[in-house]
Amino acid sequence: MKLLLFIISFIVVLYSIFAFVVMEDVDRLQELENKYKLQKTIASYVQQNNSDLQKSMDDVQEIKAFMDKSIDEQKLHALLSQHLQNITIKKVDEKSDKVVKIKYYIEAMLPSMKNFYNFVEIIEQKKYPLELAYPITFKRDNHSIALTLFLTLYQAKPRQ
Amino acid sequence: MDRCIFFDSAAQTILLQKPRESDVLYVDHANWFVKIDTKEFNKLKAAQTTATIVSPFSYLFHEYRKKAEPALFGVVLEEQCYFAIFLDEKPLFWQICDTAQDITNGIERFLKDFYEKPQSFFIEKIYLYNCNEALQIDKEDIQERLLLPVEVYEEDEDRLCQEVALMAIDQQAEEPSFLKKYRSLLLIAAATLLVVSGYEIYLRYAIAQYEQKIANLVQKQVDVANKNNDYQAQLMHFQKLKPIVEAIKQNNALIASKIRTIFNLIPNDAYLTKAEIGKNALLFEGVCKSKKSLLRAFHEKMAKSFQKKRIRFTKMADGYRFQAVYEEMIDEKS
Repeated sequence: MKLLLFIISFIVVLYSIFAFVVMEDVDRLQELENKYKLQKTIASYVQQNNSDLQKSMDDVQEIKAFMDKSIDEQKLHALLSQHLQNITIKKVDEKSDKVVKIKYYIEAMLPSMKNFYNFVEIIEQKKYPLELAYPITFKRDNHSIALTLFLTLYQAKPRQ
Repeated sequence: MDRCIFFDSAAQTILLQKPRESDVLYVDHANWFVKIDTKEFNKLKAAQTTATIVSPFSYLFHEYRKKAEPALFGVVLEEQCYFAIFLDEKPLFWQICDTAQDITNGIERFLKDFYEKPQSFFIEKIYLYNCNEALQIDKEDIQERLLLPVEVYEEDEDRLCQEVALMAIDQQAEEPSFLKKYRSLLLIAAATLLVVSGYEIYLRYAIAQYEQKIANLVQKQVDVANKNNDYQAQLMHFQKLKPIVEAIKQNNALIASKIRTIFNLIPNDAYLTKAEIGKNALLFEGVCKSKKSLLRAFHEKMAKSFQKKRIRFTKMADGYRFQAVYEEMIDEKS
């Protein structure tokens, strides 16, 4: 009798443990395994997207190089001084659309035309956000050339 | 006073040495022991919970000590009759027989068996104690058949038993505990529970691991997704700026190339004193030695690209001063 009671109790206990504890955890583990697989798939997709975007970012590096250069009037003067002499800079206009456009009127002296060409070349090589604008005048003054021109400086607007 | 009864069962035997098993029930008579079957005793005890229970052999020993002579002692109970011969404070020979059989035959067989023993001796008397009211012992018959004096006492079982109540089988026999009896079964059950517990621990551990992995993965995804959003925003921003940058590059290159080309057109015997370059209008002033050479090398080539063009020379002592104006550039596509 005792033995029978023991066996029945043991079966009941074992069944209860399985039904209410073990099986619930088995289900939870299965659920987590599926969730983990799904998350891995999503993570892989997000990572792939990240790689693609990084490649695209490489393509816009040139634009980034242009627009990430922060130049003020002082820096502009320093840049012009490398090629021109007796520089005068006057700010004539400022507009803000997709970018901030600041227009300067420049007066300077050129030892030779070669300095002007070098200046334009450096702007292109170093990707300075500077655009030459008409009218440009060259006037002989003794052994130098007096230069006047308009320069438009492009600056990225602060990002929101 | 509690009732006293004899343990009337064949499930008892006499031992001359102490039983070795620890869980055996026995009555200790110093030199010898009555081993009692635990199961049978428990049955009787369950039926007679308050009664004192004594082995009939304990009573026979008690009578032997009182009489102190080489006699056969027997007690007749409801179920069984018990015979014993004692010597030197120890049972020498004993038997249990069924009460349903003939008592005289039982005693005769007992004596016969006893006399066959090498250590047997001559029995001088028989003492019989009859506690079975339903049975009449024929004393004369026994005496005639066995040729021995017989004393028969018709007695009340309780009274006789009370005389040796101190020798009661008072120890409650215990069946081997459930734990001992089903040890292997319990071990299997414990092992099963252990395995189940181990599996449960593994499940909990695996669940915790997966939860941690998923949390890490989600965090990583959020980080990468945030980076992606940042990249997207940057890309959109830079894509908008692309036309502007292209225009800057193109315009600077165009202006530099235009100036270089124009200046290269000036022949070696001439030089510029002023050049004013507008989007649609160009003005040049300078000095040359030969009109013809300037017109061919410079003016004619420039004139091809403009709708309005004029050049004016002023005679100087050594050559000419010139002024050239070009307006409204011709669209090459048209």
